[in-house]
Amino acid sequence: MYDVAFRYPGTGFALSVPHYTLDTGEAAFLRGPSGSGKTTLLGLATGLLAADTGEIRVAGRDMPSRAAGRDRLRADAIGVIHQQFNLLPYLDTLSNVLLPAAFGRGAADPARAVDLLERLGVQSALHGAPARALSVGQQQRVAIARALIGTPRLIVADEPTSALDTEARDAFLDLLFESARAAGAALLMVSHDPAIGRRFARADDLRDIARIQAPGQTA
Amino acid sequence: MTRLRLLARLVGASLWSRRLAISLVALAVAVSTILFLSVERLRTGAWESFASTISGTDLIVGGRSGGVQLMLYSVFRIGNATNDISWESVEDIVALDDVDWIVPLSLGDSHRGYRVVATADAYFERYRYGRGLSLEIEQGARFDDLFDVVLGAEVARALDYEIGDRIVIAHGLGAAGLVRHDDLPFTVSGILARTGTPADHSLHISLEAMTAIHVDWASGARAAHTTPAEVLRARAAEGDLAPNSVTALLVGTTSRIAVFRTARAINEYPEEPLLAVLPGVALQELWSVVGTAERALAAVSAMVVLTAVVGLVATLLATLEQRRREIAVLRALGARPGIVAGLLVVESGLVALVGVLVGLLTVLAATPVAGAWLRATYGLDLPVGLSLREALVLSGIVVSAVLAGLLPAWRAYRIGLSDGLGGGG
Repeated sequence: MYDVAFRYPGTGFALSVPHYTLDTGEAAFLRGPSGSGKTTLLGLATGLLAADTGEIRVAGRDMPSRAAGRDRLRADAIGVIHQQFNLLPYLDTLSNVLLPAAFGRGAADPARAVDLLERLGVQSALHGAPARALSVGQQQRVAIARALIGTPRLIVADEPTSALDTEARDAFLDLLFESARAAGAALLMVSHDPAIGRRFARADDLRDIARIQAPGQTA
Repeated sequence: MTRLRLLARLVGASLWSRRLAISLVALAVAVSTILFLSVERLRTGAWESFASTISGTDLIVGGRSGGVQLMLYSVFRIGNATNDISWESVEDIVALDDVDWIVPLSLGDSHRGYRVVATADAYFERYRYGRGLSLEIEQGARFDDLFDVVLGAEVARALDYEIGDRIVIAHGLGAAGLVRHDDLPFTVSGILARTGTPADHSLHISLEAMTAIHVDWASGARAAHTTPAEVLRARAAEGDLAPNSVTALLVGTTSRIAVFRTARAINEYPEEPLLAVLPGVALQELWSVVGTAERALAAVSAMVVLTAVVGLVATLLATLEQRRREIAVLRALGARPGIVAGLLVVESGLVALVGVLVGLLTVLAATPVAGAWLRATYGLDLPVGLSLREALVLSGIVVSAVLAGLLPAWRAYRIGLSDGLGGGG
């Protein structure tokens, strides 16, 4: 990410990132207080938001300026894990995991989804159940499986542990590290919780890498 | 598993998770479809039944007046003829080369508010209505004796007459205060099956009987001493009771092309001013006067379709607000705006299609049942199949649902991507 600038049209909130990179297979933690622009940065990294200026590259490909192109790149190379996991509650577990494949270039491979789920400890009995029937812990695992299904080069996690207690959080992080390592993907996680940062080899503070301009402030 | 199957499963699961709301929308579309088709069928049925009040007759002939007026008094038995046709003219018309058959009609008398139609046996054979249906005698027989009368179904029902009842015919039209032919009562010989045409409201006697009851009349009043029924029967048997004139003629020609030639010959008949009209033309003209209800129904069916479409769009837009999060998830997983829009459009199209099909099947299943009842009660013939117009409007409903799905799809496209994902700052 080089010389990236972004401004929300309505609110006047602006963020600029002179330089930020992640190596292949690297796991990085990004901390910052609430409202500091963490989700905005992830939005730019995953192409959910379009940068006004600057250059973003993921897995060696430039982030396209067209929304459909960014969606395509996200479907192909990036796995996203959200704060609330964001499974589709009415859809069965297996299809939830396969869903990104419906939008990307790769073929949907149910055998791989089953394999991922089993390795993450979601028993096959649950694969046909709708996601709303799963426990929180099971939903995490399904969300990880979904992020991994497209063999992404980058996994982005946005406060995925905020709803968990310490024990469940540690178990989730173990699982996530192991999965990312096995997939050979870079991992970028943001959180306001500095405790999580201690588990990462690399931890950055958002304020060190990005300049924020909140409404009413001058740069 | 192919991509398409995965997307199909996504649509299916999404619809299934909202099955109550969705089936209510489909039901609303189905009800609108049923309403539209019913109104449309009644509308076309009303016109078709009206248009086929008389069929199989090529020309209607009467004294010179207007075509609509001739139609009104000869077929619908409303109003009076201004001029009769003399029997000499009738004989000349029969003698025309192109004339295949004629049915004479003589009107002017009544029985308790119902018209008496004096005619010949040919009336029962030649008069056709609906899709070529002929009059059928439900009970009894046609006229045998001079003073026999055949009742229309409604006359028999309303006045509670049976075969063998004796009735008296009044001179002139109207319900009360008329001089009655009470010296020469008639006997009910037959009752017609219900047709839904003016024949239901008519009493049919022979032309000779009409002449017979007026033998002793001069200047609208009856002579003091009248001829007994037996004497009249004897004169009828001798062929002495031929009418001097009739009110109208139903004419059948030998071929379709001969119709216009015959009409011109009659309209230019030098001995007497006559008018020949084509029933279809006169009916069309008359319908433009009485067809207001039909136009009102057309407006109603347009409103019904509009309501269905507006309701569908409103519901889709309302559910979209609840689905912002779902849409944001799909986009976060890499669904292009086109795919999200496609999912929404397919969904609204499917819901509308199911609603329309349910409505259509219901109407198609109910039409034969309702049609039989309408035929019997109101003489209304319902169309059986699906008309092109109906098919077009129904596909219009589905197409507008698809277009309506584009609106939520466009809104979904615009909804902020991080919106609804629950992410902070």
